[in-house]
Amino acid sequence: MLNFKLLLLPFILCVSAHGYFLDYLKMQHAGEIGELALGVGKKFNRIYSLDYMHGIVREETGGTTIETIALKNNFQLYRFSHVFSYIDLYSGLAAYHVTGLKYQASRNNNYPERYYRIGSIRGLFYLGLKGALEEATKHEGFFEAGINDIWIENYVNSPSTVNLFGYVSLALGYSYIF
Amino acid sequence: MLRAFILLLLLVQSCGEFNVSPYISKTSNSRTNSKQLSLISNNEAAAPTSFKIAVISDTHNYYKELEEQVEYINERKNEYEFVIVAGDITNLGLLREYEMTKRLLEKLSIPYIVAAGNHDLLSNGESIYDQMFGSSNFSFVYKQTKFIVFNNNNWEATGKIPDLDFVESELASSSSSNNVLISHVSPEDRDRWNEAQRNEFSKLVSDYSVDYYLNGHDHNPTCSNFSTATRCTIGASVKGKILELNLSNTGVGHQHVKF
Repeated sequence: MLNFKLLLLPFILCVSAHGYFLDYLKMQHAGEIGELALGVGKKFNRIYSLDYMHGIVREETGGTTIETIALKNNFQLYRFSHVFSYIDLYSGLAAYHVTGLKYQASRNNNYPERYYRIGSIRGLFYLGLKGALEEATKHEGFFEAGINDIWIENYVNSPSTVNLFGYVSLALGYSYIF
Repeated sequence: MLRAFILLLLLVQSCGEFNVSPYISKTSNSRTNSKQLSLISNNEAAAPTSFKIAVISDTHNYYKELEEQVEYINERKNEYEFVIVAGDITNLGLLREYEMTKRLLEKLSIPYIVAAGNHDLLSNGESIYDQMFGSSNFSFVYKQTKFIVFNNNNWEATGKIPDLDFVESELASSSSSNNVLISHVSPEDRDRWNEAQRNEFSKLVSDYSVDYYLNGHDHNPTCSNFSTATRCTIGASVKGKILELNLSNTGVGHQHVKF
């Protein structure tokens, strides 16, 4: 059963606090954090912004319901300006956590303490492009391509066997800027 | 400039996929063991009375080493009848880990079967194993030998683990000259089994004159006596060894070979 209350958390935060410190509302498909992830973000300076997102995967899609909480650190690398639009190239690191005891092997009571390393937290390194039309700068679209820590480690261990590009995770999304 | 980005975007998209979570368990990749057992059965009539099988284990994310094992076995495909993988084909029980290992195992020129390891059952791994390979308790007869594969990952799997009634019933119904048990965890693992349980395994082995007990889990390849049987720990891929089992009407032998 999906935890809709948790899913609404970003919106409640957004409504109550956007006037003080939040800069945008964000919606994302895929990118390892859910079929649909919703969240809020803060642009700290010209280069760095931080997103908090909550994603879900339905049982029909994933075989089981999966909830993910993610913190996405975005670093703007370059801005390409055009007469009618702009496109930003950025990189980032998403640290995400999948909720549920079965994913937290290191804390599961079935196993002795520290028998397994923690399985529920992953890191996703990504490159992204986001852009908006000059006349509609409140609406931004973005596209990201990333690789998680597992496949980076596997590639380092077996570079001739693991095709890193085969494990690229893509994401599409939309941001509404306050 | 915009065109260049669109091209770049299309290029990246052709490499990757919209992956909603690495923890998903739904797969259409199914019933591998059953399909492989059919291949094994099809080869049986033409097989010699004395034959060899290759046993590997704990491939985890040692993909380079697994690929080398596959190449080694393929170079000797006429020597081996089939391959047994004694579990731990993943680290975290994730679908893409399963798929990666299976992709490498599919390169084998001879059939293979996969037992469930403790790491394979983490996260949603139990459901993935069930879908991809089928039941984790199964048996088959090849020539004069009965192979009984069972799940003894008691901390990770759900249900009755290990199902010793299944093992006993398979041993009781065996009319083969050789009986070989295969599980991932050693029956002598003192962390997982208390003395009474270890004695129960030992009694089962002696009561039914089991010839060999093969297990993975401990990464160092070793063989020793267990009750009336010979128990071999296959060893992880990274240790550079494959266990060869030599089977005939007169008995079973083994050797660890370098690949």
